[in-house]
Amino acid sequence: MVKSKKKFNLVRLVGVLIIIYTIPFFFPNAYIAQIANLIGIYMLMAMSLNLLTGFTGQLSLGHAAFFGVGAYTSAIVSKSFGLPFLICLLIAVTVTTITGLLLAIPALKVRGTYLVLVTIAYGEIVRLLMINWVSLTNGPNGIYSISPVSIFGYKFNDLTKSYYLVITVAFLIYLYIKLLMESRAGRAFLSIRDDASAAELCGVDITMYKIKAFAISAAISGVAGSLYAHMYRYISPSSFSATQSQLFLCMILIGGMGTLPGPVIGAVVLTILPEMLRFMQNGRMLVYGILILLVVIRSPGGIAKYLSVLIGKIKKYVHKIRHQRNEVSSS
Amino acid sequence: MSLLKLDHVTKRFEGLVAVNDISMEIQKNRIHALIGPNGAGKTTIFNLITGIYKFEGDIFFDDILLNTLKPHQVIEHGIARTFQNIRLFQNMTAEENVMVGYHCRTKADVLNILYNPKRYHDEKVQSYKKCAELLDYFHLIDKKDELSVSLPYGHQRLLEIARAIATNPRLLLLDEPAAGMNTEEKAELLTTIKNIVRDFDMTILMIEHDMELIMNISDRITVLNFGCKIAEGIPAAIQNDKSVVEAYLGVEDE
Amino acid sequence: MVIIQQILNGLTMGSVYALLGVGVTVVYKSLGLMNVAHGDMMMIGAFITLLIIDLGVPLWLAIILGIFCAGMLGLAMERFIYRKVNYGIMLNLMIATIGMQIVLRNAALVLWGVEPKAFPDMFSKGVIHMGPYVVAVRSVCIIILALCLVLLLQLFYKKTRIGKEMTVAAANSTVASMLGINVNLTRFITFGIGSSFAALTGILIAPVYFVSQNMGAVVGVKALAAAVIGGFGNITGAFYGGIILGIVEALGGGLISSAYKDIISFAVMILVLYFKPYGLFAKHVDQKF
Repeated sequence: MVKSKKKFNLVRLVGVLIIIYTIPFFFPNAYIAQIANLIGIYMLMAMSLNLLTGFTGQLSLGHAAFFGVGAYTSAIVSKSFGLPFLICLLIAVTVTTITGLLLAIPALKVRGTYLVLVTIAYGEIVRLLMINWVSLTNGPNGIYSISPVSIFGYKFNDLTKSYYLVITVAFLIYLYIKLLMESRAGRAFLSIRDDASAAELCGVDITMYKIKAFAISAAISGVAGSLYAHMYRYISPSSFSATQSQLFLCMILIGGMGTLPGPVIGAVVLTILPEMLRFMQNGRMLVYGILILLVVIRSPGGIAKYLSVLIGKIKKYVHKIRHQRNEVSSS
Repeated sequence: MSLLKLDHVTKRFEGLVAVNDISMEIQKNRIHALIGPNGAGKTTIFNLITGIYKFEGDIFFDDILLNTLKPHQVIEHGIARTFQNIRLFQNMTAEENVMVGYHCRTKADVLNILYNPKRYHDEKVQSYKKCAELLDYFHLIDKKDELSVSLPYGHQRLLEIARAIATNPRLLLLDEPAAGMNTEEKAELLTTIKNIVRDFDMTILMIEHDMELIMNISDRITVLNFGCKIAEGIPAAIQNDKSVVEAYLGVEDE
Repeated sequence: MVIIQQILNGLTMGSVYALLGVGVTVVYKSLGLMNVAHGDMMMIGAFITLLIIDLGVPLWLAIILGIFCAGMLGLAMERFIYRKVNYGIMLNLMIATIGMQIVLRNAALVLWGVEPKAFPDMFSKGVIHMGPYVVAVRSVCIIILALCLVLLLQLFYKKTRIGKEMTVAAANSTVASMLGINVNLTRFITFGIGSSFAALTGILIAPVYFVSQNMGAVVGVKALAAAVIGGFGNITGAFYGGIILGIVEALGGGLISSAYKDIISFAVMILVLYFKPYGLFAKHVDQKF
């Protein structure tokens, strides 16, 4: 549920901006900077999936496919034609959006488990194409030496610069999604999630809105993929597997599906966690799986919901204390 | 001229004829009841009008042919409905549910909110204002921020009607609006429906089982049984119609 | 004719998909939801059996014990995990199965590592010659086994009291409870049956495919595809769906390209769903989730 904020909370906004833009000064080393960059990219992917799955109710287990299409398109266009980054980005987003629309075609006709299956199959098809269409994608070896991000000649070739770029993009996309979900279109998405046929009978063109959800979600993934390709400068099919799709789903589930901060929290937690669980190599995903089961059993709203309930309780407690204090002082 | 006209409408489901050559007309600002035993085809007719199934025959709304329209288009033309089993949006508040009703009467969309924010902000403010007025009309205004699913049953039914009216219809299809209500709530509903006709220039087609309610409120009644129309007329006439009594054979609802 | 040989080849994998698809459908009949972790149940079943074999137990006994243990595991999963998820909200249940898939796959990874392991063959390596065509003994056995098991299952659902109760419970749990049927028990048993079927399938394909933590990944999706092509809740449909999928895949692989074989299967599934959103043999369109 997304409440419309009638007041514009300037203080909170400035606070958030200060935090995210001064974090780089606390980067002790390149390794941490690398993680911060990855968090930014994963935030984009999580927000993209959350729009389609959390807000519009179209459960997708194939989002790594969009990520991959964005990355590969940008890399291929960049290496084949030497075009500047922004053009590659634009082309990548366009191609990924078209891919999203392609997925929408069968997805419109099915729902629930059938839809999940279609997305899984779709993800697999894309991955198999990446591996087998060697003339286009260089197969399992991947694509090397992708040119770095450069906008109007300014190169974002160190970790701090690229962090600023990614986090700014993530912030802007967050704002857009917030604006979207608080608007008429956002309500349309939510109504489709809750009861698509009833929504249709309230005048919502559910076909168009599902298509829009797929398109916007794919577009954001395209941005993420393109940034990823030019920041890491090497991509291969193994980064875009079913496991990656599951990871994205884990992020929004654990962070809080269908909430605004959920994907952000999820991306942060699930990118930092593996680094803390370094010693567990193989066991990492196992921990995620267990976490998901715990979340779904105990707190289906994820961390975001848990936090908001917690904050609610704290507020009530503070209010009670204040009230008691007033009573005592007035008697 | 009639507002809604069904012309020899038939609907078959794999060999079962759910609606059998039904013709009927609904006049503007009237309350028209559709009654009959369970399975007579009443809700199917609602589904045909709102574009959920294909059918044989024609349905006219004013002079617009509804046959090939998709559900959301039917709503856009000015027909709204409620459901037998309440179908509110469970994860949304009362206010947001009604706001969805305004969807087809507003324009803000995924891209244009970016390049024309002022206009759509105004549209939004307008919608919230109208929404508050509508909720107030139904005495639900103080519950506007509560999740729809946590409202008491009677309020949920009213909220569903409010949501339907938000779409600015000329014809309102009510599917068993009194189901599960006690006598007091039904009396209130009676008044509410009459007020809606008066205050919103509305025409109503209503499916109901509660005979007392029907007789009290309807201008005209159509009786169905096994998909066929077996009687039609003013309440007094229907009450004394032998075939109607037979069809029901003592079935009474409280 | 190459085509007939391909079809015969396809029958084998088809029977495997059919068996798994039927197992998934059994679970669907009780939960109203597809268990995406079914392929991974197959994988775990194969690993458990391997474990028992490594303890020195003779093959046939190990297989029976393995299937039994997998069935027990399925029962435990229902009792301690799925039941705790609110059955009323289907989305949560779906997410739980996804979570379970991640847990199963990665538990196997942690316990047994990434290297595929060999599994002793329970069939002879011989072939049967039918005119110019060749069929492996293994294939014939698998096909016959699949047919028998599916027939048995149909009998179970149609003739036994428990089977009929389970069908009612799946269709409408409220009505079933009112009729005195223990809905939890039916779900419980169903998971046991489904898991056992999955384990059996894993054991059947293990000698050829080796046992590895991701053996359930691709085959699992194809099993779901089989169930879906056949039409949800329809055991016979799932059986035919699996066979059809196996044959289409073999033909596609043989006639078009074997590298793109999997792509063809997935594309076929999407196409079937596009034109017949409820499957080829769907009896009635009442999708719960």
